[in-house]
Amino acid sequence: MERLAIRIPPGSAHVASVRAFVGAVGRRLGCSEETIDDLRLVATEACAQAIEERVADDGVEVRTLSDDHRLLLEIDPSGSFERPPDGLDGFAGRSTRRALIEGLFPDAEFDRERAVLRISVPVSRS
Amino acid sequence: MDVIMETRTEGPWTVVVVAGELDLHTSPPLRDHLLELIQGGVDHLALDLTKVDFMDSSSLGSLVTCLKRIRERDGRLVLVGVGGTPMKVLTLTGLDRVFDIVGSTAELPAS
Repeated sequence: MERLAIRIPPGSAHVASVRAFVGAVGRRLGCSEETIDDLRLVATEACAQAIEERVADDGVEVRTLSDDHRLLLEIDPSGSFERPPDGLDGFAGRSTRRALIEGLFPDAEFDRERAVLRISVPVSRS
Repeated sequence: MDVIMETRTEGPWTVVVVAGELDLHTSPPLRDHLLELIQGGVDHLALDLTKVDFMDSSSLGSLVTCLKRIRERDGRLVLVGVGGTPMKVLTLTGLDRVFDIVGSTAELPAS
């Protein structure tokens, strides 16, 4: 397993760096351009949500774990949560962000306790 | 990373050409620019997104705000050259049925 990560401060100006990181990893692993676009979009939505909800006091860490078959993307807001993040917890209102994430990746998993979003996609690295 | 905006006039239309990526950080300046135009009396507004290769849901909120504001004044907001991720976001949210969308500024209605 190969692991890469980027950590951004909790500011909207830094979300573009996450997109660049996710795009670079996806291309190196041979993901399709459509998959890469979708991953960039959900990473942006998840980071933006964490920043908007102010649940990422210490920033957001975006991790990728990959092998020859799959790419796992994790978006992990870091901080001391004073309240549960709304995220994809199944109780919050169905936000547009949530609809987009679930629409693009129906198997997306949301860890309520840690507010971590996980998405797994196949890769075709030769 | 900031967006680049250029505003020009084509017949009755005020065309705002945008280049870059639209997200939580970059869409507010675009929204403010569009609202300023609307507030200033522009009622035929075309937003050329041909050079926008990324758009998230924050940007949708900005576009909907502008659409609502211009419709309150009986004006029109048309999106031009939407493709890739921006079109996917519009389609997934159903907003492709709310906005008027054309392929190029040549397709803008004469009035």
